[in-house]
Amino acid sequence: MTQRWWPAWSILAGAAIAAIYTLTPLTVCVVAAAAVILPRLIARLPRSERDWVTAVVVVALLARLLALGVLFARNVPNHDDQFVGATTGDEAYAMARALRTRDILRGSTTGKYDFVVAFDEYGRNSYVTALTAAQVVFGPTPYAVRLLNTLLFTVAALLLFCLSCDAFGAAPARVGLVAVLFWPTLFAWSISLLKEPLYLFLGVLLLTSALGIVRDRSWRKRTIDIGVAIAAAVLMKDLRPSALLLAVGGLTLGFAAHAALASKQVLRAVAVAAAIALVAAASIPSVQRRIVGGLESAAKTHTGHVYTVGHSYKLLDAGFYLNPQTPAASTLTLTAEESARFVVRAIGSFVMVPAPWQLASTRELAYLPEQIAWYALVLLLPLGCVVGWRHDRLATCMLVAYVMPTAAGLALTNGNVGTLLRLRGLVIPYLVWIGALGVCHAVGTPGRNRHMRWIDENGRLFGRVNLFDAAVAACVAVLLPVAYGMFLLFRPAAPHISSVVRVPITAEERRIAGGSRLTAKLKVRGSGLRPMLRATIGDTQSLGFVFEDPNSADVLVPVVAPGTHDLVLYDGVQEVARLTKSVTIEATPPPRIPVIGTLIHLDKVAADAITLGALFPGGPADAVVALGPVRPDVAGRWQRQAEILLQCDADPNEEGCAVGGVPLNARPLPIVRLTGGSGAQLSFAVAETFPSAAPTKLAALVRFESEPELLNLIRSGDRDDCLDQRAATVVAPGSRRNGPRGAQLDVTLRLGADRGPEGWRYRTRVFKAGAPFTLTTDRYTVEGTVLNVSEEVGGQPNDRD
Amino acid sequence: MIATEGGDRTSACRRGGRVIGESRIAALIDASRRRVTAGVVDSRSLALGRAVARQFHSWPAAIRRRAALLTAAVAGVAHFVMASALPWHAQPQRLATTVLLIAVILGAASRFGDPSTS
Repeated sequence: MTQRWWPAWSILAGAAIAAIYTLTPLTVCVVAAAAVILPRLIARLPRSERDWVTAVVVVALLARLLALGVLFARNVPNHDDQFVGATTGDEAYAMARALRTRDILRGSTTGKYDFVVAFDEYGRNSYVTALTAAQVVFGPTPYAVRLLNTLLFTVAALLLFCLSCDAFGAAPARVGLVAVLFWPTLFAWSISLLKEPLYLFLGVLLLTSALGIVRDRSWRKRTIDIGVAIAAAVLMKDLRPSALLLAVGGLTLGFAAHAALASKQVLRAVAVAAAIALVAAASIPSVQRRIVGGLESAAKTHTGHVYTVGHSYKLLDAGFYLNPQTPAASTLTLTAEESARFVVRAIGSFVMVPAPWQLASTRELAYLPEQIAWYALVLLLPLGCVVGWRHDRLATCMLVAYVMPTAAGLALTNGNVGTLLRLRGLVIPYLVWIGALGVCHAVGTPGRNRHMRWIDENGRLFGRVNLFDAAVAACVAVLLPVAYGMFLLFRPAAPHISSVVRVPITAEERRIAGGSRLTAKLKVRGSGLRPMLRATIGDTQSLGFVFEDPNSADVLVPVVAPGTHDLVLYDGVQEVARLTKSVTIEATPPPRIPVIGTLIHLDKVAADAITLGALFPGGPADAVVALGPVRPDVAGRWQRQAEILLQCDADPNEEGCAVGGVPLNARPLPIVRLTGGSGAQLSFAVAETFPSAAPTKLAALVRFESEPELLNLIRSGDRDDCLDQRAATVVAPGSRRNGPRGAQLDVTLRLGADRGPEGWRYRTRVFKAGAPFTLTTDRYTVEGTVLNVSEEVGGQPNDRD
Repeated sequence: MIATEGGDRTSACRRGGRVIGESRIAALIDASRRRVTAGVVDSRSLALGRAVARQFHSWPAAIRRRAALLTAAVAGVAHFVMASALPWHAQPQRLATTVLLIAVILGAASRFGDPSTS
């Protein structure tokens, strides 16, 4: 590269740079930014730390580049113009949304769905906006954004290292830096397309600049810190809901804790004042209501997480998870006791979940070592806090308190194991420095006095094994096997269905069905069954899952389309067991019987709207066959007499027709619930039921005996007061004569009757010669005796009977 | 090594740091770190980069300035042309990325062009 050829070298270099830059412009910018920022940050460190930190950061960056290279190689077959390079659902959503918005902005959108996604309120945050801006300026950048996130994460880690090094010394800071850079979950999301690295970077900027404002002696530095803090706060504001509130809350809590820990007297006074304030607040009903209201809101968000796909965990009492609802639609309310239990479980869950026995998959089992490391960090925190308080009270208070509001928010609103593990990464980068301080102190303390002779001056057990090595070995050799043993021993049995058998429906199940159509009852046998499971038959939700014991339960089946279906059990929205093709629904329709009664408590519009034909098209096969006039009911409502062909519930035991679990032969006659034309529920007061078979037409001679004036009212064509076609009709009134107990009139009637074991029946009463008969019209009621009954054949009487 | 000589304010922490630094785990981490950094330091591509930088720094300041300007100009034009040749869906905002590239090259030249800062 001689000086004489500088124009040629420059052109060659320019072309080479342009080629690389065109291939991936954001990568070049990220590398340039890293080349400027990282050396500056490292230059701020004490001279003794620079080489070590540079080496660790280089190793960390190379490890991440290697991981990205593996990801790239694995994705090679999928690289096309639709590729978003995502490995998780959240990454895919953010990147796909950014690319769709880019298409809209460039006028190259191909469908309306792009607009739906781009302008959706769900998932809107400033990270998506920033990601979109990057896609618009640099083109699709599924890998360069990961590099940018790597840089943001590394810068945040270095800022915290500087803070920790200044506050606690180099050794804890070194342990902390190695832990942060190589903590598996943090490693994974530092090379992701998620917003967490940016959130961490801005959070750390805010924290370090807030500390700088308090500590820096020059006003110039303070002014810069104020500017940086404001910029970080503004950028953080829309990154996630309440992000700024949580950050500012954390800073305030940190400064307050620092002030409260100034001396024992101040701490005592603050503790007493806090206790009094807490008791006073808890005793005021309005404050209590507000607290419980806030917890209810958090609980609704939590149940929303529980009803997402994945491995969920529960914080509320079991009964709250019976009916899956979205947080917006949830009507959940809590009592003070339920709220208290919810808070206690939430705090416990943030530390414990997933406990070894809760691990549900191989992937989660692989997470077990990191979970043990998390437990160790939590255990070391109190010690680290005490030691940190002696080293640097303000830094300790700020690091711990800064994440407390975030931790509380996560603990109270989360319900999904995967989400908790990911979001717990928001607090680990801050707490790890305190834990590292605890580790250094814990390892450095034993053996300092002469009581522990088995640990020498150099921290070696019996002069042979390094104490730190022994502690890590104990974790690996003892804690991991113990945790795995607990997983094997205490993990809940997964529900399993071994058989499904149809069994008779009893009155109890009809009652449980609560007015819904109950078509069958299934006895489910298996193992690991739980009371709070839900069952579906194919895609149809069951009416109820009645738990008997872990090996047996009943499933109440509603109206299900004919065919063979799977029986599926759900815990919330998670499918936990399935027996394929275990439920067969026959195509035979259930019987329909004519029922006369009155539709009651109607409004006028609804009463007028009822017409002959199907009562609810597309619903149950109930059909109106005859209608009476609309008449006033009580309390300004209306009623209408009707004859309806009612579809009975499935009746495998031949117990008689029941509608929605209500037997129609019950006494007093029942009121059943039907679905009306608009889908509204109608009340139908049953008055009379008939067999489903068509009636037989009869001609009968009946002798009525009464006052002459009453008999004079009987005319040809008079119809018994019944909407059904069975209604008796006067064909020919004979001549009136005097009898022993008054006037007599023989009348020929035509009517429909049903055949019963004891002969003909007319409107539930026996109808044969000598039987009493009552004719009721809207003008009169008259009683008589049947003289003669004959079956009509071709419209003519046949005197066989 | 994780252990350090200065900076700790209590003997327990200092001793803890020393014990951790003498542990096999720390030695393992340290060995990995040394191996990787040695690999990076000895890499041919870095050596080539250093050689190019040395050559560049050996040029007179006026030539360095002109070379940087020419490199930036060529890179800018070449990038614009190459980006225009990309399929429509993969194209960046050419004007913005070109300006950014020129700024990055000139910035790097001004930062690393001076032998005392490289």
